[in-house]
This record gives sequence, C-alpha cells and structure tokens, in this order.
Amino acid sequence: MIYLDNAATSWPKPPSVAEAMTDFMDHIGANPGRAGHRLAVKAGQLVYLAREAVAEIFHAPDPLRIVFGYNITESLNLGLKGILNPGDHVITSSMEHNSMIRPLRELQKYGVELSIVKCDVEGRLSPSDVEAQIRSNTKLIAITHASNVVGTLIPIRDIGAICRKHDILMLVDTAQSAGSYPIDMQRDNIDLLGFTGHKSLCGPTGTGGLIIGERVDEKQMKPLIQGGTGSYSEHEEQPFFLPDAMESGTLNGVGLAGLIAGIEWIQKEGLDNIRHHDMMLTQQLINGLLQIPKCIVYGTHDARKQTSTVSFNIKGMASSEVGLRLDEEYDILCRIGLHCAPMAHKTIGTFPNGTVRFGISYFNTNDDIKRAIEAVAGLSQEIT
Amino acid sequence: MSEHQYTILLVYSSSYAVRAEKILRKEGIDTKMIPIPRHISSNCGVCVRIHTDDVNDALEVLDNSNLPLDGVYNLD
Repeated sequence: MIYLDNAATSWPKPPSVAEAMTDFMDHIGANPGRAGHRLAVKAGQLVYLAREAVAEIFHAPDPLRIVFGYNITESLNLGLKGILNPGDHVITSSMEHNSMIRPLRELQKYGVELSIVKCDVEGRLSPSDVEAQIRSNTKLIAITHASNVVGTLIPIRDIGAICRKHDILMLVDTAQSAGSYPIDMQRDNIDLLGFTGHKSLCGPTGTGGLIIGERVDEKQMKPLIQGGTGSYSEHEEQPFFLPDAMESGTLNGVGLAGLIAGIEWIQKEGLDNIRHHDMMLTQQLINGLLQIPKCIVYGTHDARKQTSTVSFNIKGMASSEVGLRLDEEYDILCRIGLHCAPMAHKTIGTFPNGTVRFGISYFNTNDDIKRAIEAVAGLSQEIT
Repeated sequence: MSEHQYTILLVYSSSYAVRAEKILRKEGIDTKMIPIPRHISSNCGVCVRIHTDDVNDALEVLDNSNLPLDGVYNLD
C-alpha cells in the first residue's frame, strides 16, 4: 500500500510516537495540572515538556504562551474570535482552508469587516496586494503559510513585516508546513501561530494549539471556552494569565506524549533533511505527472516554492473515480475533491469538481512516487 | 535550621510550578511539587516546596527569571 494522504493526516508515524503514548497510558495516565500526587505531577511535567518542544520547533517566545487544543481548526477559531471585535477589519487570502474562512464568515455576521486578497492561478500571493487592502481599522492579517490544495507557499515573513510596519497583527495557519518546512515565529514576524499535531509534526490526531506572541495583549483576547484549569479554583472567574486564560478542561496528555515524540523525531532527523527529501520527491512527482498526456498539474510546478502536496486531474475522468480506482486497483491512498477549501479551488479554476491530491511524507520513497506516476499514466490511457 | 523545615512557594498554576521547579533545580535547589496545603489556599492545584534554608536563594533565582509568585509560606 502507498499512503499519499499525508496532507490530511501523516501516516505512518515514527514508532516512538505510539511507544510514548503507550508509556503514558501504562505509567502516567493521570490528570495533568490537577491534584498533587506523583502521577499528576508527572503528567503536568509531561505537558510542560510538550510546551517546550513546540516552543523550540517554532522558536516561540515562551512555552507558557502556547494554548493547547485538539486541532488547528480550534486554534484558528480561538485566534480569530479571540482577537476580532465588531468594527475591526481583517484581511485574508483566497487560498484559505475552511478552518480559516468559515470562522471569518461567521465573524462577518457580527460586524467584522473582511477583505479577501486574490491569489493567482498557481496560488501565489503578492504582499503588495495585501498591503493595499490595509485600512485604518485593520487589526489582523490572517493567512495560511501554504495551500492545502496545491502546496504553494505564501511569503509570510514579508507579510509579517508589513503588519509590523502598520502596527497590526498576523495570524498564520501552519497546518501544511509545520514540521516539514522551517518556521521561526520571531524571524517570520508571526504574532499568532496555529498548528496541528497530526500532520508533519508526526503526532496523533487530537493535538494542536495556538501560540500567542508577545505583541498580543492576552488580556484583550477572549477565550473560546471557560472552565477548570486547576488554578485559582476559589474564583468563579477565568484566570487572567496564559495558558490558563484560554485553556480549560483536562488536556490530551496521551496525545501530547505522542506529539513530543513526533517533534523529537523531527529534530533528530533534521528539518533540513526532511525538507530536502520532500522537495526531491515532490519534483519527481510533478515532472512525472507533467509527462502524462491528459494530466493537468496545478500549482507552481516548482518544489522549491511549495510543500509536498500536489494536485492534478485526468482530463475526462472525475477526481472521485481516479481516487477510487487508485485505491482499489493500484493500492494507492490519496484525497480527492475540494479538500475543505472551495475558495482555493475557485482561485485555481477547479471549482466545483476539485482535484486529486497526493501528499508526500518523509516515509515515502522514490519507488512510491514512481508507482504513483505509473498508476496515473495507466488510468489516463483509458481516456480516448 | 533543621532540614525538615519547609517553605511553600505559591505560583499561578501547575505549569508555573513545573517551570519554577526546572529553574530552581538548575541552580541546585532541592524542590518537590505538592498539593497546596488547604490552610494556605483553597486552590486545587500544586505548589513548590523547598527547604526553608534555600528561601533567599530561591526567591532571587525566580525573581531573575521573572517568575511571578503568589505567596511564600513557612510550614510549621
């Protein structure tokens, strides 16, 4: 079996991830941050280690400014709804995933003003087009680091510099890049960074979070939920300090144990090596698909300008049929359709039919890519 | 002073307790995270227990690390 759905959830994981999770369940298991017995203390220490691991890989200013949640959708909701108030203006791009655009459309109903900057047909965004949209009430630029449809990278560092120049904040969706492309919160001028654990960070599903930079006044931010934090229990009001102000309820200790192992594995392999591997295979895939008559490949066709996600179609065959037949006849697992990003498909001209998407990981090989190209070539030969 | 005399450092939360413990241990100060004694606070969280002999050093180290404290209590 060849697994090429890594842009949705990475698989397989490094073996150390499941081992760490089993170890947590067998030997720690208790509630982090509550009670004071030795297992609760161990669980609390593990959660802190998870904060440190996340802070290190993103060069975050402070491990305690990381708010854990169950995925990046929750984190982006927290960032957007926590920061934006009626009358504020926010700018986003036309390549966003629904996890960004749906909360923004919801906020629009309550008086938040929204501008969507159009990307080109390859998914590229011009920073000057973003700057041109800035108004006196612009509070936030909320943007993806890389398209989940075509992988095209967005120049977040340049956009972040524009934000600093105009004294506004930048929220970045790193779902497609975290763990496979270097991200430095400080160098890249990121104020709010949403991440998810279950893709290239190699962790389990149910892990993610929002990192709140030091330019953000957390006292002006609204939490998504309130509840138990294990701190200031005598008060009926939510604590004022991070992460407790935004992070209520029992955390996913077992998931965070896996996430630590995933991040440690990335550090051990080396992010540069992972990026190099992904680029080689991505270019191999793009070049191979471009050789196939009737195959349309979207995006920049340049692995250096994108993540390891490649979208294509076979002219005359629905993406759903391609996906089903790759699974049943060629043992290749991928994703088809709109990939929860209808606006991105409108931008690249594939709405409403969508595309077939291959998402490559560090565990894929040259041979996987060769066989995937042969499979697409085989299917395309059936079209007369 | 007896080695069994302890002082409690109250911090915001268990996350801050872990951080305080890391900072103090790095400086060679012996610590233990324990449930907050009920006579000090009704908080359900944990605090950092140190030897009373180490209090001055500990407070200085934590102050230099900008770690906010909610209180310092000697245990009888």
